[in-house]
Amino acid sequence: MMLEVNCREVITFLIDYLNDELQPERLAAFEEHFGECDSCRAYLRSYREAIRMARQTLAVPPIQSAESEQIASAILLAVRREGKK
Amino acid sequence: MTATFGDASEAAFVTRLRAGEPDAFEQLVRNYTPPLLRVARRLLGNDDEARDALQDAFISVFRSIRNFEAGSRLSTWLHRVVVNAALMKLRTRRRHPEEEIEKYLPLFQEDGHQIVPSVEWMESAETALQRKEMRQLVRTAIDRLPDTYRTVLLLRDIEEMSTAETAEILGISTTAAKLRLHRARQALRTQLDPQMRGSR
Repeated sequence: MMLEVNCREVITFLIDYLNDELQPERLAAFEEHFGECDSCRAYLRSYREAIRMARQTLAVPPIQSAESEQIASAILLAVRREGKK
Repeated sequence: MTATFGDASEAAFVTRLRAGEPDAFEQLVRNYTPPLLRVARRLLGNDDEARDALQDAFISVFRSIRNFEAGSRLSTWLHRVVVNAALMKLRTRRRHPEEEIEKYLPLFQEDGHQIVPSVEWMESAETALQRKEMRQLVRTAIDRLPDTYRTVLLLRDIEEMSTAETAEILGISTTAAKLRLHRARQALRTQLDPQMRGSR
């Protein structure tokens, strides 16, 4: 008999599904559930979209080498001062 | 994570650092300032505070480099020191108690169904983020996550570190790192859901 999973199990272990960490029988049960359950399918898609939204919102521009050099020099100065204490 | 050295050259470099060679420490600061500054900026959302946190972190590294254990990668250890320095700043800055993550997690009926069924979001991330208020909403939702959850989300989903690296940086098990990441993503999704299910 095929393993069955409910919405609670699917949502609780969604990260294992996305990480490809489910055993084959359990993976098949998850796929079966997603095929039948509109709510869990919507949850999966919106979960993925939320990650993409976080990624895009927190994208920071690359740090320019001149800026990095200036900050590194200031830090080295502070560390040398600290070393003399 | 930035791989600045190969294994053999990293071991040789660490030996020079532990011997207190000034050139080695200068090279360390110059090589690692860009990736570590990026992490601090994402955690703190403020350039001045990120610079301060990075400086605090390098001073701490300078004082403790002799205690660095070869079992850990240098990059992982440096990230750990910077993340801790940034978390200290966040704690100092916070005026309100952190919210409980549980209030943003899905609830289920006894039979296992969600109490509030999920519905498809009406638009893609790209389309939604063209609106300024949506970008602000995402930022606020991330800021509202408790520090321990937001940090895992940043390291895993934004910095794209592995679960094992994230766990080592935070000094927690990989199971705990995975659980925190899942909850952080769920809490973020829950906060965006009211806007996204009705938007277009």
